[in-house]
Amino acid sequence: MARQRVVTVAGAGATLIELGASPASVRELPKRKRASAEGLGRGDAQEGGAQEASRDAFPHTRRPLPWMLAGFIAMLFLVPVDSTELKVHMPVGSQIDRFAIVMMVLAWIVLGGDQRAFLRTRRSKLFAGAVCVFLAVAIASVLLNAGRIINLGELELAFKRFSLLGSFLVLAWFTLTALRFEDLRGFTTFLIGLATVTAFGMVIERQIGYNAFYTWSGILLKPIANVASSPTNIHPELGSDGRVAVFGPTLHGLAATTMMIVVMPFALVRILDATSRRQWWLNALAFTLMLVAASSTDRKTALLVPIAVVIYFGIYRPRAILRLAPIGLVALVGMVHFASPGSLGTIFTPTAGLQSSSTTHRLGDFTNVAPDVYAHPVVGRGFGTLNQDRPDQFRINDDEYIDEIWEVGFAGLLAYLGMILAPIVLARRAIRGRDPTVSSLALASSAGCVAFLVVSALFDALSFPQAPYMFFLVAALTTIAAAGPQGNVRPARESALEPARARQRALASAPSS
Amino acid sequence: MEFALVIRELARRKVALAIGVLVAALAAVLSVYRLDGASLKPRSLQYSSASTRVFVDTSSSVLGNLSQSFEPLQSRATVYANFMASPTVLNLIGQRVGLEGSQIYAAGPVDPEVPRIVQEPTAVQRNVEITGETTPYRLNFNSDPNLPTIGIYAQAPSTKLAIALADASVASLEQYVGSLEDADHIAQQSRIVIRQLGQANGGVVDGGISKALAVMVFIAVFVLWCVLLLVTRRFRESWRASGGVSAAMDQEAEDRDYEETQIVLRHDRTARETAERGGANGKAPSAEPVHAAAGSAELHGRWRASGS
Repeated sequence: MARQRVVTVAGAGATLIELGASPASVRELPKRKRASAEGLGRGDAQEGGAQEASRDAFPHTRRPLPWMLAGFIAMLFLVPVDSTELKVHMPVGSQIDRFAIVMMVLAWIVLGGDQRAFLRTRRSKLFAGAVCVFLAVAIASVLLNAGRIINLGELELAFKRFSLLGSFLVLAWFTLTALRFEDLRGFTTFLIGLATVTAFGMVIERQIGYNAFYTWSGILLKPIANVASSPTNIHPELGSDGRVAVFGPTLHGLAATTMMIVVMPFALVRILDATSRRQWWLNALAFTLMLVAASSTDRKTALLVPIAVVIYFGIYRPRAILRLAPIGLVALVGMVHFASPGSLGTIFTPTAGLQSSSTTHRLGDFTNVAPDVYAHPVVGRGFGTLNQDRPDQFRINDDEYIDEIWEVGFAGLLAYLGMILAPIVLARRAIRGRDPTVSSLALASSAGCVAFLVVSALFDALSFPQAPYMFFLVAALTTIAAAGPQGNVRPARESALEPARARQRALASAPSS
Repeated sequence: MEFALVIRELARRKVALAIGVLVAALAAVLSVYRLDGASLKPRSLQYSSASTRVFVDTSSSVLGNLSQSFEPLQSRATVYANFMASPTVLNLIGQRVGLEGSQIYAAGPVDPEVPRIVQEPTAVQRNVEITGETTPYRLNFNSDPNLPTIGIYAQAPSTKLAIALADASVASLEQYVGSLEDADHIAQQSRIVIRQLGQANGGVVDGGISKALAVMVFIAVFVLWCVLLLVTRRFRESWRASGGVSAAMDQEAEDRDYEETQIVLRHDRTARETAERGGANGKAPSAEPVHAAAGSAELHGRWRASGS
């Protein structure tokens, strides 16, 4: 009998490892098992809870935090955040996104931010841990180089970069605490919708040179903010490097391209999983529009990164990708050529690809920063100390990894890589799991992280806020998706109130009985 | 609530927190002081800057002479601004303030019309820049292409020294240009005159930086310590739990092993009995089950010896 119980504990232990349960629940296990056997288990309660959770899922929820997050993301896709300065001075920059981040933190505090707990959740801490390591290395890089940084007057610059990094981290943390697993489906639909609208705006921008994002933001936000004039230039002979300047709601075509590419996998996975023809066509249209918009910036990134994303999809769903590839390729090339004429030609032109000034400049990236790397190999010269406004001292590298080695050394580069790879690694099991919903969500969101991994090798991705915002968002979504519904936990505040509520219920029922 | 839970969790570990405070305090002290033998000496984190401007003029000043053009003086000012960053002038500046010329790092103006890619430093240029990054005495010379003036910006550990550096730069330029003119016997009316547009003035740039840095280091190290405490506790709990689960899994494996042994033994016993019955009935007994039984018994013994 005793032996039988040990076997039961072991079997349940394996189940717990799968779910990532806490040690406390391991100790309670035999009791729970017995309760389950006696029909007092959580099965019914869980089912009811799941139904309740899906009824309360985004966009049908009345919880304010998911809506705040959605508002912030909508702002990213529609407002040129790095060109919009509020008419209120803030110590860490007056850009509208910083203000929005502060508002989100305040809302989190006021509205009972632990709707979804951060530490007690069964969600993996891998990504959060990797972020902490990167942050620690970044802080160490500044503190260990403090003397030199102060001597060169770069401390203020480092503070500003830290505030920007803080904004990215707040977005990831807010996403992790605001969203439940059940919200993901609706939220990713929202993301696809937003990206499609932005893509449509960018295609128009490419065609007629009208940047709706800058123009309309300038008009609508006039009472509270100043929006810079649109940098759009659709005449290649006037644009830099012979390429058009199509920026969408960003300050650089590469940032706009990244926004499109990070969302593309969500549409692609829905094409693969489509259960109806309508669903297939709608998502195919969204995907194509995003690719067209990305290509309309004339950036090689728009071609290279989607290929990497498709290869990543191919690793997990090879048959589906191979089935889709021939027709998809022909249709995409046709659509891109039709909607954004000339962009494919610019991308594929050998002079633009291999002999362009950007490619030539790229070749000298590491060589010319090598002295700095050799001088500070471990923690770099200090996070955020590269002053782009001093071209005589600091070059602009077309590679975030080189910038990381330069700023935070090899320790920082490893931490940065770990931060991007963490969600990809933790998604593996979920993608290969049996639950198709979890699998698809984990695949799409981790593909967004893969896109950022590649993008970081193609330009200085942290220099434009939209790119890292998108990465931290999809990384948080991957963490939520990988944990599945088991990652949801009861908010600490609700748990604390439960005894009082039970007492109230008991008092209310007392007179009637 | 989550934050409150974390605070409560940390508050329970008073000794570890006290050690954290000590470690953070030590790091904060070392960030603003350096060990010099057995004593602590303050690091020179605070610095001052000073600036002045010179006008590159002729002996009969162009400011009041309509017949003279500014243009030749503008280009001359740019040349001088670059020339002032040379070792020759730096040595002269150093002599005036009591330093070696090599102790001063100087940078000349950057032409804003040159494309960024050309302005960006090569590896060799960057090598030189890196060596000067820790130098506390720094000079920067700017020139506006539309004006015959040179802006002089000096940086030093004290305001007095920064002002002295800026003023010495003007005097050194004047001295060097004058010595060349004297050597070449340039006529007085053809000479260049360096006019300083007011004495240099300056002040402390980052007053109180030592305190601010110490506070920052203290907070960073203490927060990191707290995070480490939380992570260590979580990891320890997970480790213990995984040990329990691992032991249970081992137990399950041993149980399975035991069950298999029992099955084999039962099978062998049955086989032996069948063989014995077969022998009694006149059939030849098979040796195989006996061999298998011996192996199983050995296995059984090992399982028992493993101390379940």
